[in-house]
Amino acid sequence: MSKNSKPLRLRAQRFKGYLPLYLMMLPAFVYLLINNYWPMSGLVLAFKKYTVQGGIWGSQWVGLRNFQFLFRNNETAVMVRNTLCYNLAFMVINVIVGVFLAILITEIGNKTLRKLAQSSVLLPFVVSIIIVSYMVRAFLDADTGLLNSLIVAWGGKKTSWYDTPGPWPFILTLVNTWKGAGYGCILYISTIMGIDPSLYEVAHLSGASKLQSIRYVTLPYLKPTIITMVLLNMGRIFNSDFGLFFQVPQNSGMIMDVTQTIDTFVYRGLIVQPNIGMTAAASFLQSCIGFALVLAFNAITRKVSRDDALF
Amino acid sequence: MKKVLCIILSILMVAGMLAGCGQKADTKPAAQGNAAANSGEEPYEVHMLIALPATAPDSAAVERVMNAVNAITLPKLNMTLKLEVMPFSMYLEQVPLQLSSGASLDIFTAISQMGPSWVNAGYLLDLTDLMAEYGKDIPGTYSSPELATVCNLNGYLYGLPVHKETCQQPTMFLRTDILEKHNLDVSNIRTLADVDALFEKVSQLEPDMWMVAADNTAQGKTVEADFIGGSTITAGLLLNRDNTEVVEIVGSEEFREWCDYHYKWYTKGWINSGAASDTESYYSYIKSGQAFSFFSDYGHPLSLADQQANCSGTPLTMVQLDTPYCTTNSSAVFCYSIGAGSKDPAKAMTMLNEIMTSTELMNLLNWGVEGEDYVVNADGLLDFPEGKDASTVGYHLNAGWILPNQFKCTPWCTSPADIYDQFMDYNATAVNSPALGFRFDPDPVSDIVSAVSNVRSKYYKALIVGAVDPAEYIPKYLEELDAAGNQELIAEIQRQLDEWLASKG
Repeated sequence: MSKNSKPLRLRAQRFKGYLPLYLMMLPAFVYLLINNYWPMSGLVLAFKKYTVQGGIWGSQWVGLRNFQFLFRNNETAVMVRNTLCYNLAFMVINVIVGVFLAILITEIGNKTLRKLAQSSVLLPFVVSIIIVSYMVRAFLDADTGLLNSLIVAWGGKKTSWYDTPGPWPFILTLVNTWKGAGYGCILYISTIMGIDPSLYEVAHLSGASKLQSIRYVTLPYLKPTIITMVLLNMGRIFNSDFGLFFQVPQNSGMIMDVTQTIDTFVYRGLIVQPNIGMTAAASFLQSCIGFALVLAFNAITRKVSRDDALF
Repeated sequence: MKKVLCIILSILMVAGMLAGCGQKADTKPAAQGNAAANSGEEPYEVHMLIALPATAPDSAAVERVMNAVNAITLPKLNMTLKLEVMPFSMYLEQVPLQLSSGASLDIFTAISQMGPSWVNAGYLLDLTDLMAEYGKDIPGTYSSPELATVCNLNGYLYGLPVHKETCQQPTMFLRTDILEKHNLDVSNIRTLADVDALFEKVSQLEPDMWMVAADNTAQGKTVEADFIGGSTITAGLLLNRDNTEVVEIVGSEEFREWCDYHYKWYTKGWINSGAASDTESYYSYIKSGQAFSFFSDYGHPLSLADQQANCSGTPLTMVQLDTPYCTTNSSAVFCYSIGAGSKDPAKAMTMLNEIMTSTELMNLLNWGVEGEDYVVNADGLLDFPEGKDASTVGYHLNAGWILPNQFKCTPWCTSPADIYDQFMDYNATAVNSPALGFRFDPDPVSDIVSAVSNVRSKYYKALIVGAVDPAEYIPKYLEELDAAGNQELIAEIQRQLDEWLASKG
């Protein structure tokens, strides 16, 4: 009893000491609660048949009925496979291309030139996906597209690209990399710029080649940023970029086996029967799996190298 | 000292925040109380929303129309109208959201296919009793009174359809310049085989031209079917069968014939090869001179003029391939509903009754204010004021087919004076589907509906434009439909239809 009371009193004292700080934190905390945590209670809609009269809490409880549509046909396996595989591929490729570009850009000596490269690599990221989809169409259109014109000019036969599933995994990956790599790249650049230049000097003096200093100085410093980026993407691994998978393939049916993801499936299934419960169910599932994967990936990171884990 | 200051500061901050919350909470009920207390004396403001397939007129013009409407309704009904005109793209984003949060929409354009889902979610009020008490004149405005109750789900009347042609008709539009150039007679064309023979001829005369600009968004247009399950479900009734058996239309001979011919035309290069995923409107290919013809399901008295306007005035020749037919979907694409959040549904219905029966109000809503937006010409028809046109008058919706009752409007001078009688007569020639007035409630099988819709989006477009071989893909399509539970869905539609037929007696 007396053993416990001392640290308890100490803790109470410490609490009193920090009280002003806690009080200052309170508004932000309440804000976080109202803005970020309270809306999460809306997840309960995934288990309800929403009506305006009942509202979020009063609507009828239907259990797992809202989830059924996700598992109704053999399409489920296809869309889960597509969502996961594309996201994994995007994650890996975006990291590799992003890091590669970041290293190249930071090696540019001229400051103006470097800023120019930095901005231009980010530019595709801010282009609307609708515009991107028409840019892709300009290449792939069956009658007027650049690609078919070239093929015909060289004596080949026109291909209706939007009805041919084969090349689409590559097209989508290419589009995603073109559009997304710049964003990650900016983060990596800022990390690289933050590395103490004396480290490179030491490496240089010790006779390290350019490649070696990248391998032994730059990459280890980039590791935490890469892990953070991967973790952030992990949480969204069950979500997909709707624009990329719906607009870029122009909602073409014949290539759906390689373009259908969970988001497009939900959209196609519910466009004519807007059902708040069913959409909530789909995003509930996506969030849960994303959350679980973040935890798992973080646990693995902690096992491998404790310092790099996020929490 | 510093510490004390710190505490005081932080307490002040927190207190300030709480005070902010408190204030908000306090003012709300007070405001509501005021509104409730005043509603007895003050005129009721009816919030009306009209969706428009074009850009909306600017707010000053809408304001002007609103004032003119209020000058009529305020003395007569002690009501005012708060009019909102919204482009369709915005409507699709905003209105479902407003409805799901219970916003007060008194009268608004509703998409009647969405009706069942919206009714199940409690967005729309049942108008049966309201119409009987406050909308007595409404049923009489339709060419047949049963049209007034077409938008119902198991007796729950959720909307009153707009007044227009009630039927679809398989038609074809061909470019007159090509027909005249080669002296072709198309008056006897009735079947797809006739069309095919014509294409054979024209394709030799005009080798670089696409024979048909395909439309990948529609159903196979020569297939006379009632898709009673909804727009993404292909199960329904085949209208030439004379029975009420729900079948999968994709498995029918008619659908197969449509696909076979299109596949033939597609492989010959007579259809744009990107047709399956084309987002360009097929009108643009007629406009640009690249294509020769297109199929349509509009054969009503104004459709030739409409379609020519769609193709920027390219002269077209219309060929009616089959008889007009009337289904629940065709007779009520849009309807007017009262939202569940309406503060006074009885007054909303009274206002709707007034609008639907008043030439004055309908002219205001469709054509704007007399003298400013239109003038009456010598024949009693409407025309633009001297020196003005559609873009300069400010308010000129010219969209009677999406307004409550265009038959009350005075016709515009470009239409015949008896245009609305012509519409009534045309409607009378239609063959009614035995399921006219029936609407399928997808709620018990909503998971199958979404699965089947997904299968449809995979195959349907490619099949109807002929991009894939029907011999291979129709069986595949049917197989996947069945895997998605289509047979169960058909059985459910049949069950609901039989119940409805029995209740009708």
